[in-house]
Amino acid sequence: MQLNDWLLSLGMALLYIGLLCTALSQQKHFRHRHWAGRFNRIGLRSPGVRRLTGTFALLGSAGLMVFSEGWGFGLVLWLMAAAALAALLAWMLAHGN
Amino acid sequence: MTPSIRQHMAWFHTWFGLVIGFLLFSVFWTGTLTVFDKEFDRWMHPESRSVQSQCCSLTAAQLETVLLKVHALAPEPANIRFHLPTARTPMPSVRITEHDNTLKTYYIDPDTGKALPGEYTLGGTGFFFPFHYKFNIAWMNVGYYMLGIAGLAMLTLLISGVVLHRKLLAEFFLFRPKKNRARSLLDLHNLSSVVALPFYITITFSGLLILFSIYFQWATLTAFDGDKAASQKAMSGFINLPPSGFVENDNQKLAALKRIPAIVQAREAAWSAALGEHTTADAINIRNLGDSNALLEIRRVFPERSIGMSTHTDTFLLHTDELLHAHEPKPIKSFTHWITGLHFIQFDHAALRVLYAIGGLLGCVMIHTGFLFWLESRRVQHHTRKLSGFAVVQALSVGGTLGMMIATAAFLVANQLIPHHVANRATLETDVFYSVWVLAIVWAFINAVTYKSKQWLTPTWLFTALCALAWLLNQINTGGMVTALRLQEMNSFAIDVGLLFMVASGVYAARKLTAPARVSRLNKEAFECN
Repeated sequence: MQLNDWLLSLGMALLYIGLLCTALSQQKHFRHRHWAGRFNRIGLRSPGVRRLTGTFALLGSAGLMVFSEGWGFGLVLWLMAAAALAALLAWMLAHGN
Repeated sequence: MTPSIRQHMAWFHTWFGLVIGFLLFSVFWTGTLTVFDKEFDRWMHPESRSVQSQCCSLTAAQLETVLLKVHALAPEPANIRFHLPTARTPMPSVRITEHDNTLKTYYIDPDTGKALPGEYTLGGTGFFFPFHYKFNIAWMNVGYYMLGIAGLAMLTLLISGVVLHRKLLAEFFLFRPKKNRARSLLDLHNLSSVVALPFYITITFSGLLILFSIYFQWATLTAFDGDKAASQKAMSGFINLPPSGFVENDNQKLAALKRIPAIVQAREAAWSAALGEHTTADAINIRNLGDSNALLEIRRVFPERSIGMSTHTDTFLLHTDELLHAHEPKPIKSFTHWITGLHFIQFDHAALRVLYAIGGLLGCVMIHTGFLFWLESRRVQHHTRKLSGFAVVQALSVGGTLGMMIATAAFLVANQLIPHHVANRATLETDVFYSVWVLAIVWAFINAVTYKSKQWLTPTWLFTALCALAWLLNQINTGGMVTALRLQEMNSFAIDVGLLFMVASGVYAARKLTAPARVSRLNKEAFECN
C-alpha cells in the first residue's frame, strides 16, 4: 500500500468515527446499548462533547481525503463515503438499540 | 382553515412522487448499472476482455495496424470514431458510420489486427446507458424530454421532501426496523433520502445540465446569432468542412492513415508539455476519409485522474497535416465539464465509482420505499372501503421496480444463453429484456386484481434466481471469477461480484418477506387480503 492509500484508509476510519460520535450525540441514540457505555468510559459523556469530537473527526477526515486525493476527488469522495457510511451506521445502530 | 405550506408539500410529494416514481426508478436503476457500463461490456462480450500485449496504451505500430484494419473493413466511411484502449476497455473500439448512416462497431486487437464485431451485444454502453438518458426512445427526442420532466420532478420532490421532513438533522441516523411496517418504511425512506441528499441534488442537476442544449437549443444559438457551426466550434471544438469533391485515391488514403500515429504522438507531447504531466489522447475521429477535406480530430475526453472532461480537442486537415483548430475550453465551459464529469463517472477511481453505485442503489431504495410507504399507509383504508387504487399502485410498484430488476437479470441470462451465431443477437437480448418487463407488469396486475398473496415474494425470488443463474452461466461459459483472477481481468470480475451481492440481497429480502409480520389485529385482515 502506498502512503495515499494509508491516508485514505485513515480518512475513512475517521469519517466513520465522526459519524458515530455525531449519531451518539443525538437524542435517539444517546443511550445506545452497545456504544453509550464505551463512549462514557473514554470521557465522551455529554452530547456537546460527542458532537464536538464528531465535528473534528469529520473535518479531519475531509482534510485527509483532500490531502491524499486532491480537492475535487477528495471532497466528492468524502461526500459519497459519508452517505454510504451514514446508511451503514444507521442500520448498525438500529439493530443494537 | 387554509392548509400550511407543509401540507401543500405533503400532497405534492405524495402524488407527484407516485406518478413520476416509476420513471425515476428506471433512471436510477439503469444509472447505477451504467456506473459499470464498460465492465458490463466486458462481461457480456468475453472476447473483448483482454489483449495479449500490455494493456492501455498503443504504440505507433499498433495504432497503424488498427487504422489499416479499419480501412480494410470500410474503405469509404463517412465517419470513423476510435476509442483508444483503457483499463476498462483493453481493446480499441471503433465505430464506423457509412454514407447511408449505417453504423458498424468493432473491437480490434492491436497486435493481430483481428476485428471482433461489436454487434454481438449492446452490453452496458449500448443498452443500459442510452436507457438511462433517453429510455431507448429516439423518436422526436421524446426520451430526452421524458428524462427532463423526470429530472425536474426529482429536484422538486427533493425540495418538497426537505420541507416535509421536520427533524431532518435530529433524526439523521434514525431507522426503527422493529416498529410497525409503515413507520419502518418511512424511516428507511427518510434515511436513504437524507444521507445521500447532496448526491441526489448534484446528480439530478448535472443530468439536466448535460441535456441543456437539447431542451434549450435556442439558448446557445442566440449567443452566436444562430450560427450553429460557430457555436459548436466555441463550445466543443467541433469543426466540419463540407466535402471538396476531390476524391483521394486508395494510396493517398493509406498514406494519410499511416501518418496519424505520428500526429497523435506529437499532440500528446504538446499537451504534456503544456500541462507539465503525462497526457494521452483517448479518442480519434476521422471524417470524410476519401475526400481531400478529410478531418482528423484528436481528443482527450476522459482524463485519467480528473473529474473534468473534454480538456483538449485538436482538429487537423488530414491530407496536409495542417492544424485547423486547437480547442481548449474557456473557464466557464471547463466548470461545466467538471460538473458533467461528476455525472459521467468515467474517471479512473474505482473506490469512488463503487460509492457512486451505492449512492444509486440508495436512490432506488428511496423511491421503492416511497411506494411501499404509500401502500402500507393506505392498506387498511383501501381494504375497508373496497378501493381499487391500492391494487393498481401495488401492481405498478411490483412491475415498475422489481419487474425492471428481473428484466435486467433476464437480459444478462439471455446474453449467456443465446448462441454466438444467431442473427440479430443483440436485438434478441433486448427483446428478452422488454418481454420479461412487460410480463412482470402483467403478472403483477393479474396478481393484484385477483388478490393473490406473495405479491413481493415471488418476484424477489425470481430476481435472485436469475442473478444466480447469470453468475453461474458466466462461470461455466468463460471460467468466470477464477479465470478473471488468473488473468487479472477485474472488469468482468466486478460484475460477478455485483451479481453475488444481488443474490445475497435478494435472499435477505426474501427472508424478511417470509418472516411473520408485526401487524395489529386491525389491519391483519388487510394484510391477508393482499
